[in-house]
Order: sequence, then structure tokens, then C-alpha cells
Amino acid sequence: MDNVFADRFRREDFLPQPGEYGGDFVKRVFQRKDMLFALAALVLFAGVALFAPLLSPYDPNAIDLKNKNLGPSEGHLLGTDYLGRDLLSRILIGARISLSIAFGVVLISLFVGIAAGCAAGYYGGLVDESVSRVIDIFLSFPGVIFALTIVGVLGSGVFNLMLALSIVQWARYARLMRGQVLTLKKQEFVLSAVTSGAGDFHIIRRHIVPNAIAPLLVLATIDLGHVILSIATLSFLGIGLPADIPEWGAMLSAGKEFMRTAPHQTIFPGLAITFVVVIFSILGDGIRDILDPHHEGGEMY
Amino acid sequence: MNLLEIRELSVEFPAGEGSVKAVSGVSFDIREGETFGIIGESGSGKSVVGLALLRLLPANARISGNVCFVGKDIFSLEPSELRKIRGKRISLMPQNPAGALNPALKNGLQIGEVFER
Repeated sequence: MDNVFADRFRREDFLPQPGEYGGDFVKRVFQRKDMLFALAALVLFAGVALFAPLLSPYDPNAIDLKNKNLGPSEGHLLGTDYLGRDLLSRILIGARISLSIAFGVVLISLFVGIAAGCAAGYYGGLVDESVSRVIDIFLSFPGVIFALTIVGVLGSGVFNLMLALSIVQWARYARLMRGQVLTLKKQEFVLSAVTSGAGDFHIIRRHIVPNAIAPLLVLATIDLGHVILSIATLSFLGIGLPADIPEWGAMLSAGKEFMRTAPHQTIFPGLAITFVVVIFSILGDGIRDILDPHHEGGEMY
Repeated sequence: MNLLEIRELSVEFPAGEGSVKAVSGVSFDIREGETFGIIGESGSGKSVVGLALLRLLPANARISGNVCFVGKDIFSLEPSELRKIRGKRISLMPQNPAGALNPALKNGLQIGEVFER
């Protein structure tokens, strides 16, 4: 084997043995140093999010007006916000909410987008026309206004926010998927699958989705950061999450008013968002390189 | 008995205001165990005949005539019936065989797939 890291994990049964389904993919992830670092950082963030209540030094909602707007010090490692709440604790607890909303929104819109895009691109005709018009409707609204309306109707809350942002996001995935399917449908291997008697569902699952997925995954990784910023926008407009739920975007917009006197209130949540976004961009780039069918081999004939 | 009977097969593609005749009035029979070849210039409609036999032509093609495979009219078959014939009873080998393999899947998997059905 050619990779020390992968071998060690494989021995401990963390990784599938070579030859098992997906084993090749995992092996190539471990061959790329940048993805390995990003993955380690992601695991770290996920661990922090999971064990945040144990790790955070203060109650994230404990208000202490005597110590408000403090800079970083020994007592409060990252300082305090305008209500004297400990920023480190809020960032740690907030990781859980920010990451779960971001993941939830991206997963929901990825699935809905793939399904709608496949249906539109593959079947064409009336299905394509109706799905495409629905996509156009969703894309013609500015996302924030649409999300604002939905949250306004449903009321605020983590789940409703997730739903609202997914409704805004899915159309972009569907449009991208539709375009991918349209070009793939004319490829020879789809024709040969049809000639050998394959059904529609089989062709979509086996031949179209694996070839079309790469750009969608890249979009998804970019969107993870985008979603966190969207939550910040909605919080700024006052319809994001309730004030007692710590969330990075909301912290960012709350700290904005004190930017001159206490810049750490925006810098630290901003850094947390930046880290997560950078991690996912690196992972997205890597996944695209690995999944791209034309990446290696090139022209054979 | 004839395995495949083709009667007066014509295929037209709409192009601009008129239409292009790709195949006009082709008729032939293929008996069981027989090897049958069609030779012609490029663009003379050989492939279109082959694609029409399996109903693989694009939706805008206008097809007329009859194709009977062991007594069944191919053009009036249900899609599920047609899928049982495709690949099992009538196979088609397209030009550019390299493109017939899906670049995202392993070759062995795709070759094995043919035998599963």
C-alpha cells in the first residue's frame, strides 16, 4: 500500500479494505494532504460541537452586565459581548446550531434538487417544462425576501429556518442537475444501457447521477458557508433565531454595532465561520478532483 | 419462419420547413441462424434502420411501416415488453465502443452487468 495514514486506519478497521465499495475513494482522500488536514479540522469542529456543553467555561446565556464588552483576557479567553456573555462559550455552543442548520439545509436541497433535476432532464417534454418553470419561479425571487416570507408565515425556530433556507436553495441544485443530465443523456453509455434493456430508474441511479454529481458537491460545499451567512442576514433582520440560541451569524450581526469599541465581538464569530467555509471549500475541491471521471486516464483513443 | 420481418420501413426527420428522408421503404426478412449484413455509403440510413428496430430514434422522428420480431409488432409494444427484447433478443453495438463505458463506474462492474439481466 502506498499510504501510511490509510494503512493505519485500515488496520484498525476504520476504513474499508481495498476493493470494497468506496475503498478507492477513501484511499485517494488520504493521499491528498490538504484534504487530510481539512478532514482533521472538520472532525475537530464536529467534536467541539458535540461536546460543547462540557467544554464551554461559562453558561452561554449567563448575562453579566458588569463585564460587558470585555476584550480577550484570562477570565474570558475571547472576551464578552454587549450583555457580558462569554464569547468562547457562545461560539462553542453555536457551532452545533450553525453546523446542523448548514448541513440540514444543504442535504435537503441537494436531495430535492437532484430528484427534480433528474426528472426534468431525463424525461423532458411536459415534465421538464413544468419542473423548469417551478425552478424559474423559485429563482426569480431574491432569496432573502423569500426566506423572510416563509419564516414570517411559519414562525422562527431552528427547523423552520432550515425549511425556509432549503426552499430557497434547492432550485439552484435542480437547475444545475438538469443541465448535467441533459448532456449526459446523449452519451453513448446511456444509449448502450438502454439498448441492453435497462430501465429508467436504473439508468438514472447507475449512470447519470454518478457522472453528474461532482459539480453539485462543489456547489454544496460553497453553500455550507453561504447558508451560515444567510442565517446571519435573517438574524440581522430580526427573524432569524430566538435571541437565547447562540448562533455564529447572529453573534456576528449583534457585534456589528460595537465594531469600533470592541471588534473582537465580530472577529471571533467571523473567524469561526471563515474556518468552516475554508474547510468545506478544500474538501469540495478535493472531492471534485477525485470524482471527476475525466481526471485521469484522459483520451484512450 | 422469419425471425425479423421489416416491411416498407420509412423514417423522416423534420428539418426546417420540410423534412429529411433518412430511410424510405425498406423491406427485408431475416431467418433464424442467418447472418445478414447491410452495406452502404455513409449517411445512407444503415444506422437509422438499426435504431428504428429497437425504437431508439429521437422522439421527433416520423416512422412508418412495420417491424415484426417473432410475430410481435415492435412499434406497438409496451415499454416493459420492449425492455425484455432490448439486449436479450436484439442487441445493438453502437459506433465508438469506447464511449459505451460509463467513466464513473469500474469496467468489470459494467461488463458483469450485461450478464446479470
